[in-house]
Amino acid sequence: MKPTVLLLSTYPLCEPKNGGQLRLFNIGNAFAKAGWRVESMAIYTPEAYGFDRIGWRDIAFPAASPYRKFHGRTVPLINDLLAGKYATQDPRGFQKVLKKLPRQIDAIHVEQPWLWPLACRIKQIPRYMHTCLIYGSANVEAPLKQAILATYNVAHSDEIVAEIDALEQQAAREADMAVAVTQADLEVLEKWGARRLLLAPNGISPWCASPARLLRWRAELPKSPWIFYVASGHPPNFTEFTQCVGESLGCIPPDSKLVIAGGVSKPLQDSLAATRWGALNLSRLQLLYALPDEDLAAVKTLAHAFLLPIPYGGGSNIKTAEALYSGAYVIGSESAFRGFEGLMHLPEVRVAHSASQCQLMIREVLACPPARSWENELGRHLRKRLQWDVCLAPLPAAVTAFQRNSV
Amino acid sequence: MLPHAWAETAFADYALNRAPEWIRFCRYHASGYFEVPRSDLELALLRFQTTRTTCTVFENVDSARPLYHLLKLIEQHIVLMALRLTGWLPGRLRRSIYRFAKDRRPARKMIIRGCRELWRAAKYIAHPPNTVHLPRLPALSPSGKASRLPEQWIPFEEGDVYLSLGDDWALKDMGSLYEQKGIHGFKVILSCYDMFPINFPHLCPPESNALSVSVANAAWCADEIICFSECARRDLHALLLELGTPVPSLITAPPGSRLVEAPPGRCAAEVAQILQQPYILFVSPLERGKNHETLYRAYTRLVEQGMQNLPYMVFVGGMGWGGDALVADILADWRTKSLIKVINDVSPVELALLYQGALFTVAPSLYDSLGGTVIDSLASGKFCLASETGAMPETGKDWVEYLDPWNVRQWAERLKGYFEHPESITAATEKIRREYRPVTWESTAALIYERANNMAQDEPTQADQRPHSQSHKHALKWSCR
Repeated sequence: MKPTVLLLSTYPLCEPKNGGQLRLFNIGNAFAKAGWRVESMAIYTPEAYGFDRIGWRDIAFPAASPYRKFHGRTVPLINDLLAGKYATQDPRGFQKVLKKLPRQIDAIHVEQPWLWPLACRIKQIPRYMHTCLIYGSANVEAPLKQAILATYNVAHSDEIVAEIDALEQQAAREADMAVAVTQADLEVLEKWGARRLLLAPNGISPWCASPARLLRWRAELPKSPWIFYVASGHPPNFTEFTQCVGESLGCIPPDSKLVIAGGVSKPLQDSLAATRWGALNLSRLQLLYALPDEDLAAVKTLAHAFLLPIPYGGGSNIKTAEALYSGAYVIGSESAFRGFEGLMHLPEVRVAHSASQCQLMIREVLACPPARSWENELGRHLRKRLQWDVCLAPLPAAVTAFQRNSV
Repeated sequence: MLPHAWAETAFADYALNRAPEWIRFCRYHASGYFEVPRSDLELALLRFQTTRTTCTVFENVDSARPLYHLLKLIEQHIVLMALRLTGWLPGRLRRSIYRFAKDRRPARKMIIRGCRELWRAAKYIAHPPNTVHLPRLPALSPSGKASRLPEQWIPFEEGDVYLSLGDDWALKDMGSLYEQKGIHGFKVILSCYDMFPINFPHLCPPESNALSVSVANAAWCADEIICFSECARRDLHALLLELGTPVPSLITAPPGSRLVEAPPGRCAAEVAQILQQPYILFVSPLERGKNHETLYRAYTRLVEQGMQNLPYMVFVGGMGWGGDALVADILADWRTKSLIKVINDVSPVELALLYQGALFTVAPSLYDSLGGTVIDSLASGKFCLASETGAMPETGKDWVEYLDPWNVRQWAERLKGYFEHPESITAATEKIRREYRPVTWESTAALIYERANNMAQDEPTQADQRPHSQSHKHALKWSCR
């Protein structure tokens, strides 16, 4: 009989779009490929994911729930933390969880710390007492949340950050296995007392664009070399953009554009329009918003360069992996290449340490002929290692080995 | 006459008389580039030199004619009359009317521009001009697509140098020019006059906010930019670094004076009346950035202090952004209405006469990238009290006294000091007469010509990394507006 792994998260996995969804979706694929039966359960916020396809085990975190408040206060940007409390502490919430749990669970993979208390409570149920608990740390969340809350001047953020920090440390300590995406994060988990550690970096799914889509997008996009930025609407993707790239997009020639796709499109446009050089910035933007996968594949194929304006944060970024895999030029901050340090030396990669340096690199790269790193054997080899199946293969193997040893 | 008009006129004169026949001239209009034959240019220059009208050789044909000039004068008188009439209305009603008119100012300008274009079109239908029509460079579509125009229509070829001394940032499609430069491989020299709308956009019309696009595109286009003061060069350099654009070669070409020789006996009655009284002079468009308000407030202080026999304060300049409200205040203020004279339009001869007859001049601009007022003042041998910002110190050196443009009290004190001690004005004027040697527009034009000629002889520069074929010996040089 196949072992069963339950993936717990705060976002549905039926239509993965953002980095967290993609990672967990591919973790499920890795387990499935290793012969496991994969089930997923999300405690999700309907206002964020209401229009997406929802799995039958997924449970909505009601907007009217009293658990939407943090110690009686309405605090923005922490619904992930509050979803965990709802699922664990609200009797009705937990009942919904119980009703939808699979009969057999051999391992629970908790992606990010929010639902860790729920996983622990599930394990207390007698039929699940032998379940292996895996803590998937996609990021060191406390400092990231602190930065996000500071950007929006959220009051009492210290209290919230302290609670998140405590939750992460608890998860690392109590987990049967802790999974990190970067070496730096691995060391943090070890410091917190994690017993078994595994490094499973982020990866990408190779894409292939159809000739028809390529033809269509070639006509839509600038004829001259252009630079591409794709990201979700996660606040650091646009609030810190000017810190990395500067307030002006004058580094982009008049016949070129910064092409933007994903949920970051509108908020970044608003952010750049509000700067002193708003008119100039708007003249250099081409917004594609959310794209279907086939169109996104075509755009990624046609991009002359990728921009990775990632100012801080733990974990690693899937958009970095995609940019490196593309073979095009990649310009990013030092933080952007976290977890991919081994590829920073590639000739088409540019690491910018300041906004003015980033602007200079953009100017230079847009004047260069197309990068041809896929023609190089070493380049091909390094890129193959970026694929999800290569990055995540050790995880199900490690869990299986742990279970065997603990029997 | 605006600075770029002087630069174009001076260069056209220089090029016609001293430069080789392979220099060609064109004019830029919204509908494209139009070649101006040398014979037409010579005629226009002759007209300018003999009639001393305020037009530049590159303005529309009809602008050299008295009718156009007259219509412009009528327009400005109508505005002034409207201000005087509404000055009698209660404050709240007056402000409502001003606000209503101010909010609709762009529409007013569009109507006037439209009427002018209709008039031009009618004349061209009746009498087509003897010009070669060069189609305009295509505007960039949102996706940045552009095509190579048919070979025989492109006015600029590889190896040519396109020189523009006009108001590039406001008028031309730099994005298209950049694209065509990449296709055809010509070189570009542009000009920079005034950084004020970039540095102080809140004191300029809302459309100034889009200037950053033109400046950035110009930086991408240009192999060299001629700046007409060291201040403008520094400001432009700093701006381009901040924008992240390439920084082309930036050259400083000091401008000459805008004053002409003034034969006696030729001026309007209003000017003649002023010339008979003692006065101090400020020549500048009436707009917020020029800071006429500080002088107005300084004068009110002097009146309130009981100072007698104050000279006239004469403001000469066209109505600019925000100037109408100030003029209305001046005309309505009992303290200043008989002391401050506002003249919106004078001929070059009248302007020269006003400079000659002034006790001294003032230039309190918040920021002036060119320092033209100081240059004109010194060229006419007059002492100037100027603000300490922008290009003023660079042009005035130690022949001018500098004050904080925001410090009304300081201005009042110094004006009072000079009025009470005219010997200090005399001493300053004498120093200028002994030491000051004006820069001529001819020397400016010679410097510009040398830069353009050198560029025409050079190999393709690093500024444009797109491949060029071998450059031609002949440099095709366009002096455009």
